[in-house]
Amino acid sequence: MKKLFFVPFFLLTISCWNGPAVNHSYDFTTVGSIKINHVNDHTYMPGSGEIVETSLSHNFLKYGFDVNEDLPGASRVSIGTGNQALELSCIITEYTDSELIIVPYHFEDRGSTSTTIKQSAAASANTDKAETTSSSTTKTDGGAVSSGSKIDYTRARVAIMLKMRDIDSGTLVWANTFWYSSLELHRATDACVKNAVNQVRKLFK
Amino acid sequence: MIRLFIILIFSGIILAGPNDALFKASSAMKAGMYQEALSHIAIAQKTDKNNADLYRMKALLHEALDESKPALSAWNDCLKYSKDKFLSSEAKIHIQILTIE
Repeated sequence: MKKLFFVPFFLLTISCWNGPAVNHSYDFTTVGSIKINHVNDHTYMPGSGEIVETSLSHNFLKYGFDVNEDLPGASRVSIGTGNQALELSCIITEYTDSELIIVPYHFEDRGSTSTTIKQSAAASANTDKAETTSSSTTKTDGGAVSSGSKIDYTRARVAIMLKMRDIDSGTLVWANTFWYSSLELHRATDACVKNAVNQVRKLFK
Repeated sequence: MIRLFIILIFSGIILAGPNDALFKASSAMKAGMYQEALSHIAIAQKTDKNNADLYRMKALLHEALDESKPALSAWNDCLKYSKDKFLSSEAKIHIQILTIE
């Protein structure tokens, strides 16, 4: 009976899990540096690899790490005083600068009601009394309801897949995917990489 | 001919309702006039307050203008009204990044 409850719960947990994959037996405190591998271009966007690679170095530097680029195309990030070295690989899974977004909207003209009140007072010369007359007019506009219309705009979307492996043992120690959207491609790239580097940084805290 | 042209212009002005604001917002966005697009979205939102897609549009515009606080607020509203899983996940990612900043 217990198995009957456990199996669906386990499957549900697996299907909903989209967090990072971390090798919990790996000791991240022994890491001294991370070598950033060359990032290949996305199939449809020449130059995208260099942009992401530069953004990785830039963001590591921004977070206060020392970045060494002694060899062209091979950045090395200093993490701590440990002896172990990790290798960071990045694959660009999406690099789109014009993804079409459809915005469906509902428009409702609720109509209006306006009431005009006319009031006049006339004083009679023979008597001390004043006569007051008033009239009101109400206009109602039923309005109109329309729905199902839509507009469109384009936005940029960048998605990357990162993985880190121990250079000596070849063990995969961490992997995760990230994506970000923006109206501008450079902003989407920077925010996506920034989020990734921030997650990597947390491993060494 | 001139009469017809004048009639067309006036009928266009008369028939243009508040929903026209979204078309203007979309056009302004495409032209890169983000501040103007935001003002049109504000008008459109008066009649469609719970539209998560409009909040996403607004949030992306604020982000493009480097306005983190209003962007964060718009993403929170987007998440609040979103019924779409993908849109909710997008809002969560943006909220996470903007909170780091």
